[in-house]
Amino acid sequence: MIVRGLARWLDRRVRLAKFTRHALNHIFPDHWSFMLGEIALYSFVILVLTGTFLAMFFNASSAKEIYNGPYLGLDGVTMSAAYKSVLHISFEVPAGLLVRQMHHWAALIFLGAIVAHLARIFFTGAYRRPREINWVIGLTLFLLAITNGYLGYSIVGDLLSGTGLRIGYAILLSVPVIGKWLAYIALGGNIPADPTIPRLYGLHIFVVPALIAGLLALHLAIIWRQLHTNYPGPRRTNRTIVGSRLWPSYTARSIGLFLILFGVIAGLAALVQIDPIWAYGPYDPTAVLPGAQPDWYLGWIEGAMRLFPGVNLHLGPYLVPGLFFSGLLFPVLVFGGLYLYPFIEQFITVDEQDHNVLRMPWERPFATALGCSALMMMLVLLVAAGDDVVALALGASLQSIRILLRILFFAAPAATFLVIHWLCARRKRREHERARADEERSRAQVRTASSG
Amino acid sequence: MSDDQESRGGALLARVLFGWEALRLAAGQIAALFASRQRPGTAEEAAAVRDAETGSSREADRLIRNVRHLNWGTFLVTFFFAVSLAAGVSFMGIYWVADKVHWDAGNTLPLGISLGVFFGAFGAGLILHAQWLMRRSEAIELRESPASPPETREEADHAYAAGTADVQRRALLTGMGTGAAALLVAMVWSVLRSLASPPEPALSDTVWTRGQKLLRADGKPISVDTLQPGSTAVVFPPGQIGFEKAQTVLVRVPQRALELWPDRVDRAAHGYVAYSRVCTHAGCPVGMFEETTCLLMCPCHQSTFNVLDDGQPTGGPASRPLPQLRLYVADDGTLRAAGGFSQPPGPGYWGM
Repeated sequence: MIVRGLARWLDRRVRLAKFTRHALNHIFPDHWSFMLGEIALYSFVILVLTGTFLAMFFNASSAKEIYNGPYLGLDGVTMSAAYKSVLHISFEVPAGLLVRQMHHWAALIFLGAIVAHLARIFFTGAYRRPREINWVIGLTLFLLAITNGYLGYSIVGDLLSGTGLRIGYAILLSVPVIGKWLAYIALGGNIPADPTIPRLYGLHIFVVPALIAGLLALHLAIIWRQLHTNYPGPRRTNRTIVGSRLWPSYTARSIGLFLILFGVIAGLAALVQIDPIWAYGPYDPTAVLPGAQPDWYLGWIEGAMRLFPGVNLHLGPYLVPGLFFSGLLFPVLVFGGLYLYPFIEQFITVDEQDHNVLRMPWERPFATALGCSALMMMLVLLVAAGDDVVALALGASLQSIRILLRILFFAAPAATFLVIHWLCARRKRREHERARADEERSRAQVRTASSG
Repeated sequence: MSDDQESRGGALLARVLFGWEALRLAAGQIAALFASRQRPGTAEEAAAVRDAETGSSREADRLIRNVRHLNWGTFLVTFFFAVSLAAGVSFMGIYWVADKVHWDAGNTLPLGISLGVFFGAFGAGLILHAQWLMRRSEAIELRESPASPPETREEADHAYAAGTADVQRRALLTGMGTGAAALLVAMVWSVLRSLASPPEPALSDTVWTRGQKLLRADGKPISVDTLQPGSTAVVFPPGQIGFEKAQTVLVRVPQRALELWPDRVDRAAHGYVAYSRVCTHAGCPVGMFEETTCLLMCPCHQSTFNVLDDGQPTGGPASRPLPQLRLYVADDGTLRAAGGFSQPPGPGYWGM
């Protein structure tokens, strides 16, 4: 009754009934893989909620202060006000550590869900016309999410975070022509500089999340208008949409998913420690931190930086450091390839159709093999990001592990391409044969029926 | 499931959610689990079972199935919702008690678990509700074309053209607008300058000047006999202790290496060589020294630099040598810088 009364009140003023009817009847396909994007969306909501709580206590300042809080391991140590405030959140704010760990876990899951969602879209061909715009927006969201993850752990001011920031600065500095200015404008000077943390904090809690929220709204509005794709199946054609209506079952299941995700993140935050900043100590530009790795979604860039050979490019009196190629050009090329893929495919296959029915991965051996080999390349780089740890664990020399990984960087994707292509092509052939046999049989039945 | 039963289910659920009925129902269901065949839970079920026994009609079977389905669903959903509510209460309890007594980061575990169960169990209850107690049927609709119908498109074109035709001095507007936009870009470009002081000369500054003592982090100067052969120290110029760019690694080359590389280490004062401690690859401190090979290693990406070979990179992704600091021994026996670093310290850049 209350709901109806409120709806009437609103409808008298802003004419909502027509939209509401459409919305409640909106059809969503039932397939588990459509939840991946939802998980990403809900992780973002959790990030905003937990991040808002943390922002109440975080002090974005590089000012030097002396710690005298309850964590005795750092008693009397000089540190940035930012780091001190994160120690305060972790040890003194009730539920502070829980929320901080939830925030970090949610970020890891956010990126994981984005990657899984991206892979699903790619392998089923959901990026094809008319959904190229959402492919481009989705990739931009992915980039923004990576950026904000990096900004998030860079502002904390512990040794690991400062080391990551130092490397980011070096990458910006390596850009040809404008690198010096780029690094100084982005970070406020030769780091650790006083403006660095406030500047990154502003980006982390306002600019990037606002961009993510805006693009996310657009992403959803577009798919709302275009309707989802369907997996192939009975009654699923280019002209139809099949699935559950939004109200009530889909709504209940989707909110249920959100709550379960919230529960899983809270459980992870309770049980699995993440980023114990007190153990690293405050950032000290002269301190050494062996075995340091970035968060997993930056591992591929870290791996590329480690595997790239020690070469420079000299252009007359100018220098292009090797770091530029591994730390910046390589990621730009990877994302450039992703952005352009739908358009290149459209151009090569001269495809001007709208596609509302997905293809199964085995139906497109080339695209599937290409996607798998790209993922394999990322996997090799992710391993390379921890090659010192791998070498230690295997008791091998770092040099030999690195040579092996350099070979694998080329060989593993190539082998993956061949194997996956062969598997898909075989499956495709068998499906065709089965379809032909079925057709044969039904024709034979028709013949016997008509002759008898 | 018929509409009638659906609404009855809804009414039942409303009672479950808002009243003590919940406990009674749950208890009844648990009891029914053990003895459902002999002692049917509801009057309808009893009637249906009687029907079934006497007539064994299809309608009766369906009725039994529906009622059992409804009861089972209600039980499952109630169970999860109840667990969720209990976890919520325990969250409140832990929070308030811990906050009153003594807040400790160790409370993170029970607090997080109860929060997780609160959300997780409620979510599970909701999904079970959708699976068991909501009608689900596959819907199908026709898609509209993503493009506008041609008539609508033409109407929009016309509206635009008609409006544009009414504008006089269009070229003036376009010209001025373009000019202002270009200027605005230039203005924004200029204001970016406020974000940073000019990178030069800070970037190319080699930090050291001739005659400066080599001070350790505690401020003590280094003399000829301070370090044992084969050991290292981190040193700074006076007034710049702890500064990132100023950090310098001082190595006293082992005796063995001095014999092995006489031509090289002639340049070293009493076996001392000094290099910038900022990695030329990505700027981490080159903080590890391997005595047998006389290599400095950066822990971030494992670049190695040969101390005996003017800091040349020997492995890993670094491509430039570590900037070297020439030393001399002053009359008072302290080590002094003979000038600045041989190159600007730190990772490489365009104008280097």
